Amino acid sequence: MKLTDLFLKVYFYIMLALVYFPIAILILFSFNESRSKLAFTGFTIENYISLINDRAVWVSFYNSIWIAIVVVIISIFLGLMLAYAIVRYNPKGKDIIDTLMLIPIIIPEIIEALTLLVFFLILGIPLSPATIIIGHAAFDIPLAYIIIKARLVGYDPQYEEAARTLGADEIQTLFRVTLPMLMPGILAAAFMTFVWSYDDFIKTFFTKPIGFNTLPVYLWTKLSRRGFSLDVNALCTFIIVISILFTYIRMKIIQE
Amino acid sequence: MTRYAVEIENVTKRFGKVVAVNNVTLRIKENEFFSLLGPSGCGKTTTLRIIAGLETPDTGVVRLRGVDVTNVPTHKRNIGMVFQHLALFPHMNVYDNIAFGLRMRHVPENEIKERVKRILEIVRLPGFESRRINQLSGGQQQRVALARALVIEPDVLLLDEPLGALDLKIRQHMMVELKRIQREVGTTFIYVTHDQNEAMVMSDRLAVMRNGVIQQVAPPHEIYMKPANMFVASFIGEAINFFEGVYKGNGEFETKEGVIFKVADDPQLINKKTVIAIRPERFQISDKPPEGIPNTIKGTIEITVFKGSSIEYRVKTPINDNVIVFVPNISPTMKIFNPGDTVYISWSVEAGVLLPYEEKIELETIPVRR
Amino acid sequence: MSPEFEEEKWYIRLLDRIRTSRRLKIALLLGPPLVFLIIFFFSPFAIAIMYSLAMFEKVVHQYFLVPRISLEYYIKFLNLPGIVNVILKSFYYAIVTTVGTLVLSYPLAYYLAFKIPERYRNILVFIIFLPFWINFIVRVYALKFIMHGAGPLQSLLVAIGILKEPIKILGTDTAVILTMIYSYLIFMLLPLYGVLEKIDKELLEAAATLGASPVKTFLKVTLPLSMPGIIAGSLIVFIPAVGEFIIPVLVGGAATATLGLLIYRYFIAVGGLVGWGIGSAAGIIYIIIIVILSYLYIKLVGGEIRLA
Repeated sequence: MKLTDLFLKVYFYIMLALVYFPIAILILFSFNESRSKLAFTGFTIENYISLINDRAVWVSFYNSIWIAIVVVIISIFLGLMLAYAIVRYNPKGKDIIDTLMLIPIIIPEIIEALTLLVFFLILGIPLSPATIIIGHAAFDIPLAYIIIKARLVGYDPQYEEAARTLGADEIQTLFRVTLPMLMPGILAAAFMTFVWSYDDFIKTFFTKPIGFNTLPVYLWTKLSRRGFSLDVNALCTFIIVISILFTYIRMKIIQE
Repeated sequence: MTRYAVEIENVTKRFGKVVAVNNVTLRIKENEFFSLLGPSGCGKTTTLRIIAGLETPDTGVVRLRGVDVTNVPTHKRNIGMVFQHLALFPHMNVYDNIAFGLRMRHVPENEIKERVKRILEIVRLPGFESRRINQLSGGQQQRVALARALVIEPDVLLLDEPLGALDLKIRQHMMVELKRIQREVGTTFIYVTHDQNEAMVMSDRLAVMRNGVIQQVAPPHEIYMKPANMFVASFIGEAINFFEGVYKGNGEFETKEGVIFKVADDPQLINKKTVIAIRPERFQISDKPPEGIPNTIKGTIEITVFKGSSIEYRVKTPINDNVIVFVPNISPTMKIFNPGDTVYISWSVEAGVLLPYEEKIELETIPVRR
Repeated sequence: MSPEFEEEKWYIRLLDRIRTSRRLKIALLLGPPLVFLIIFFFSPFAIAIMYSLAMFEKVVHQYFLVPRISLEYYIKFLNLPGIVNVILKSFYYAIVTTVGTLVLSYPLAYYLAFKIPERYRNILVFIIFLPFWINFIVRVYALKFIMHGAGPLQSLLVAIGILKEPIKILGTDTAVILTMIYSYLIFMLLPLYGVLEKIDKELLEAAATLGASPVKTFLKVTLPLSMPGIIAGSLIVFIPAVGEFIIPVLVGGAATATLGLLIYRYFIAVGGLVGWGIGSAAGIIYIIIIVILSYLYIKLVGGEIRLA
């Protein structure tokens, strides 16, 4: 028995190393002097300098962020409305809606993306950041719905009833009791939808106008153009750092 | 030489800095219903888990029926265990749960069928084989957990506070059932609880534990009448009265106020700070000073509570201002005292138990009577 | 009788109406989100179905709906040269990825759930999950960088002498599978850990007291109880894996064409009525196959729990 424990422990740490290894190498080589990928010849931040000077990077980063923010606002808003109506009022179509909300999550993203593209083309709607946002929201609203609904279900309506007996009307109850108590769930949904939207590639790629990029899309264009160059490593490292930052922020806010 | 069902000798177990079990020695006899009683955190569950093999002691020996099993893993000891939260396998029905241990022992299926049937009859759940666990009530789940542990005919059955989650009425019913089943099947039971009522009602013998140390091991009657120290006296029973003072020897006990009471002699406690412990029902109470009884004090009734089958008085005396007295309600014509009345309370020499004085008995863990 | 007074009354009357009518409240709350989703998710989906059934015609630059149903695009799709290979390959990748992630992450989840005391658990969970919060494409590129014949890892191995010369991994099935396993690992690890962590430890102790050795306890108690997690994880990995196209594009080559790639090509590279028709048909077929397989899988594995 002790042997299996040892095995599990060793296995865990080996896997941990294996998972981090490619990323570590990637980051390491972003500092590599020569253009070569063969060996680490010297330390330089020249790749980062060209990264900082590349305006397209900053534009796409900015785009990723503001699009994600808009998507989060829309998704949380609509998802909350949906979840609240379903859980509090228990309407007759409840089960149908539940199942319908699962579909966007299960359907593979590429099909969603392509069908949406065709939809826009048929209707003659020009591609724009708006179409990107719409595409993201179509996935994120059900996602937000599922997350918020899960929290809402476990939350006793007695708090709201107590507020009502104390004289608060519906709107006041909503803002003073319900929403504050739902904050953890709303925050969780907000984070999930933000990260999903920020990191998204497939849907964005197909619903975006020419010349407009988000960070993942920009990365893809660089990758699919030429095989390798170490400034891609620098870009990736940049993305990694931002992701870690987001995760850290998320952790901090959850702890609070 | 008697062979004990379970023996633990000089067993100690530490968790970090905390000594959960402190040099404990216990010998439990075959066919005994033995309880380990104490407040939360006293080490009783850890002791039980050491017997089960779920914890290994830092020092000491564990023997089952004379065989040293200290280093034998749990699944090779022939014990049965009923867990606090029952631990019934949710993905199996009643039959498979009970059959589990038999299957581990490679008992043939047709024999399993018979034995499961029989044990279900013993626990009074006939025909429940195909029920799912989540369809059962608390009491029924209780009995399935019991059946599962008993059907394998273990050397000893360990029970870890099994009745805690049940409603009062069901708990009382289950206590009777457990006792009956133990008698019928004959297996040695080791029962862990913080509820002294359970332990006193069901046990042949019980051990009171506190902070990892055994305070006393004795049958219920003896624990109640002759507690070994102030802790046991307070923990057991509905209430106890303590009078503080010094034992002078020759059966004489002197309180702070200089009053002398008569007690049974105990040479070890001469000139030591001691208390006399008296159960509330051992007092006699009257409005006139009684004749011929050595131990009498005068007091005033503070509170009278009519409890139906008995009357409870709180009496203020110069020696102890909250003496609790129980008087059985025998006759309709007996005198009932009211607050403010002057009374004399007295007790016989045997009614008072001389005990070493202990600072501050913390009874913060008095079991909540649900 | 001032004008403001009049307006107030109208406004408040409306609010009161809403306040008292449960139906109105439900309608107002469900309305906007459902309308949005119907327009932007379900109708595109419906349109795709109609496309696959050749219900559209193009005249100049306008698209018209035509009242006919034809399976021509489905037939064209199924008759594409090498289509069987592509479909089989996609499923092959998906199955291997699913099994691979399951086998690799089960011990990890088990270790995290059972062998770590509570206080360290959160940190370790955070550490092992952290890499997977990084962008998908970045992770794929990281693996590509390592696997590259002219890349650092291989040069190192050659220099040390483990390899005689750089192996060409990129462009092979192996590259795709390795990358897919690496990228999808988290989707199996999460549900597995979630389920294993919830198993009552007392159940394992009870099994031990009943005579089950650690191996038996695992087989008879832990494994069956972790089934829901295994099923969930398998589905979460398998379904998208079949349609994966990023990884075959970045890491694979001509020989590793997948269903996802095909759908992409027909929609984008070919385009127009035909491209979209075939692409949609492919997509619908994909969805149908997945639904059938998932259903079978759930029935099969769910049924086996009862047998045990």
